Amino acid sequence: MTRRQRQIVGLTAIGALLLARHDLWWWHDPALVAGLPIGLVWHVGICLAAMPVLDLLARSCGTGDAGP
Amino acid sequence: MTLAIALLSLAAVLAVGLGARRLGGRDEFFLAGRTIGPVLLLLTLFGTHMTSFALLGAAAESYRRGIGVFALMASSSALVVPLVFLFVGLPLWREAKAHGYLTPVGWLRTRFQSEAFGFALVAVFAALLVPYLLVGIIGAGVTLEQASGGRLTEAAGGFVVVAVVAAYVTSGGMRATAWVNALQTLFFSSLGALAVWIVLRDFGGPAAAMTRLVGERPDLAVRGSAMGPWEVATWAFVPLSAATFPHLAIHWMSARSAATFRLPVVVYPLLIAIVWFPSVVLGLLAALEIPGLEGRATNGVLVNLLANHAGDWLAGLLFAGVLAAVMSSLDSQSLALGALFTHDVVGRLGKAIDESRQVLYGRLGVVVTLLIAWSLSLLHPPGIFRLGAWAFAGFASLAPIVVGALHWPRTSRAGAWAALITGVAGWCWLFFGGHDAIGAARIQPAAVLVAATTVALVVGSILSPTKPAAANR
Repeated sequence: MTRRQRQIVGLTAIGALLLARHDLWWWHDPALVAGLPIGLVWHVGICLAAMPVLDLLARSCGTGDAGP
Repeated sequence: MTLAIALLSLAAVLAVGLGARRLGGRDEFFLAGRTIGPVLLLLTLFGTHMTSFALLGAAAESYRRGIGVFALMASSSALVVPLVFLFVGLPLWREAKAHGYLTPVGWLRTRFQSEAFGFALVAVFAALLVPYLLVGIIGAGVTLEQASGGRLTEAAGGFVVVAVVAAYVTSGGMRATAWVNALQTLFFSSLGALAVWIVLRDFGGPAAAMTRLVGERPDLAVRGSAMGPWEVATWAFVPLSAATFPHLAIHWMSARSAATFRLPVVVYPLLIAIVWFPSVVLGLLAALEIPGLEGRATNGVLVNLLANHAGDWLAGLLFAGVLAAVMSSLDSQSLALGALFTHDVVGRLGKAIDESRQVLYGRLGVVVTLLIAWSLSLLHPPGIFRLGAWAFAGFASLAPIVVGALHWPRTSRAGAWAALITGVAGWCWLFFGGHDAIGAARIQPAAVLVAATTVALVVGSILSPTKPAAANR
């Protein structure tokens, strides 16, 4: 994958995560998952899911090299 | 015990800050010689960005509005702020490294070939940062007053913190600031995890606590009517403020290499979760244990909750954690204002000043900034907390200027001025009009301002004649 392609994939994935913040399907749902409210677990999951996407983006911006 | 722990934490901070000092000239003082590595950059950026709101404010908000606070503020920052690091911080670092810029204003002044624009930016940055500083100093003063049981007044407490920050920042500049921030970030990050573990244990574990929450306060276990999708959507514009915080920019500019940015970008969302999740959960538990608080009384829910469950020692650690969160922003903010004063005001008004004088002016700028802010904090300006919160919207409104300057070559001086004037005018109109959240959908002012300044930037740039690329100095 070229750097440009990685940037497109990465930014698209971030866009998807931003949309996923609007979890309307659980907006009024008090269900618990692993003992925690599902709406809270979902958003913690979004934070964690962002990490590999951001790594892909970071490498596409030249941070994977030792030089500038 | 509580006060002793808080004062011990201040002493530790002072020791680390003074010990981090390295001999060197201008670049060492203002930017740690551009040698900051990835771990230190991650911790200092996070510490600088997080204020006591991430501890106290998040708990107070979740006490009032439930789990949705994490969705509003934490998950938006976790996604947007790393993008700012990558698409603003990293290119700014490249520009600064290549051309020797010491502040973001120095780069923007050159980019738009305008001394007047540089001065205007300094004025706007200072105007937005001062309330932010005041909120921090007042928060620190209140914290020490509470920790001392009233033996220290709020004014004296604020002065103690200001004196500690002034001591290590003037001594070691950026390097001391970075090391202290790293220590403070580790401290307040782990404090939240410890606190939530202790309190959840007393509630019978997470499942028992949350089952009780769903039974007694189901409104807090969902977003429900506490917030709507438009509010959640437009909150994503607030973290764009990171693009123009001068106190973050100087940290970016202190990085050793492009590779230094990768760790902060990737791990930032994890740190957000580590700090915000405990605060939000503790606020929910406080709503079960200390119900019925309203208004400003909710600001103390976290302190009260921890005092109920772990007595003085954990309350002392919490006070120390709040001080850590406050100081980790105060030091960078005062160093940034000292740098702007030195390089973008004094340095532009007459003959060039030599490096040793630049460091002297920088130190003077730090001290004067902190003293002015502390003096103003004594007046307890009404609405200062609202003003501090509105600073985020102000900084966010300027983000299109920086993004345009970096990524759209067509961005012109006229477009930048149009965006700046639109941002200032729009901010004033919304702030003085009391539009804290717009309409029934509670649209965030930052979203409106970013849209307006983007339009102004684009229209102003397109309508202005094209000019040759800015000559770098």
